[in-house]
Amino acid sequence: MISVVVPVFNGAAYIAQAIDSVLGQTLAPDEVIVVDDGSSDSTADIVKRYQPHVLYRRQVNQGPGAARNLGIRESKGELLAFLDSDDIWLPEKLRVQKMALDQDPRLHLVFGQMSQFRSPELSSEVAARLACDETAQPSRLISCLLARRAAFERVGPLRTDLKAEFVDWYLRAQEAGVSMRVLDVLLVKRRIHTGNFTLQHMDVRREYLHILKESLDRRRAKVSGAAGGVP
Amino acid sequence: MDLSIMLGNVCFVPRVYRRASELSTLAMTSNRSFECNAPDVVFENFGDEIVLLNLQSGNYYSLDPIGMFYWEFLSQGVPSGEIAAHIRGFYTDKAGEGRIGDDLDALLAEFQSEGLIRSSDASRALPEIRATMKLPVEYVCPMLTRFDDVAEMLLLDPVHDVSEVGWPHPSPAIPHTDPERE
Repeated sequence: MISVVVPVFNGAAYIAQAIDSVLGQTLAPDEVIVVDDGSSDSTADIVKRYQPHVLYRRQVNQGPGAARNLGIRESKGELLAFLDSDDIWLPEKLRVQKMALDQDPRLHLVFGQMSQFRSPELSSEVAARLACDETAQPSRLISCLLARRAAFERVGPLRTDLKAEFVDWYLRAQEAGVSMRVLDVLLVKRRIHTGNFTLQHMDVRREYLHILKESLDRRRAKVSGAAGGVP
Repeated sequence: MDLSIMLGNVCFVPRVYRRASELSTLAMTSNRSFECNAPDVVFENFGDEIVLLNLQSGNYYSLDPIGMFYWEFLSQGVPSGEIAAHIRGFYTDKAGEGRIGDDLDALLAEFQSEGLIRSSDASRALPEIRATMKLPVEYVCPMLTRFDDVAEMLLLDPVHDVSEVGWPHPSPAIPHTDPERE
């Protein structure tokens, strides 16, 4: 059983295309849960048009980590996939990834290739200013992931106090020895629009440094503990 | 213990020592000033190590104590030769001056080859900021350890695709979930 979690906050402009790409999969998911993180735009109305094919859940605004965690808790599938509300899956995404998991029972996380596209509503002037590499590239972003629920049970939930919560989760999964693979198949199209250059924010860059430092410390403590040595 | 062993499956690129003759083009032993290659490079001093991140490559780095001392002053515009002279002087009785100079030249070459610093016209004197950091008692060859295990993720910016009004700016005042079933 495959569960898909789509967290969204004020995503009225793109959420329909995201949901369409989920419902258009050649291997249909068994449930699709859209977690509305307290949107104040018309996101709720748009999502509700898809009922009963899509389950709508709403929480007070807490950020994407909390929204994904709620979706995980509410879902029933032994396989979990996530799609950010402005990205789009290609039709074969779930089928190809499930096949990879079926072929290797030890594998717990499957990623794939991703390409980027400029959102078509952008004016030519704005579009020209946005960097957009349209070639397929290996991606370990959460929109590209199909995971066994067991991986989340082993690694734990996403942190809710971070903006880059999946970098932290991925590092924890890596430290836990969770088996992962990036398929050489284009699976996801990532929308480039005026709102998605948050990496430029200095607070996010500083958050990366703290996430990386915590990971280095955990890895050292693990080795130190395993060796029975002094920290 | 070798950090590549300590950190298991994380890619570790060991430091490569370069002969002095190979360093001439990088003007290593001169007294040039540099600065952190911001905004592509960010770093933070955590007390026991400095962690640096190059957002152009997605690589991140760890610096140990003597490397921290060197980086702190170098990134503030203190000429490389002045920092090196201070470190050599501090360890005069504990390690050969030539060895320390070679180690620091190699470290500076790594900073450059990894894109962590750029030349600067500004120059600050070492004594102005010397009191902010102390060198460890024992000399250990400074190490810049590189990791590339999350480079793919960081290059793609995994932070959520939203505008200023949405993620990643959740309301800070709400303490608990309130799921609404429809």
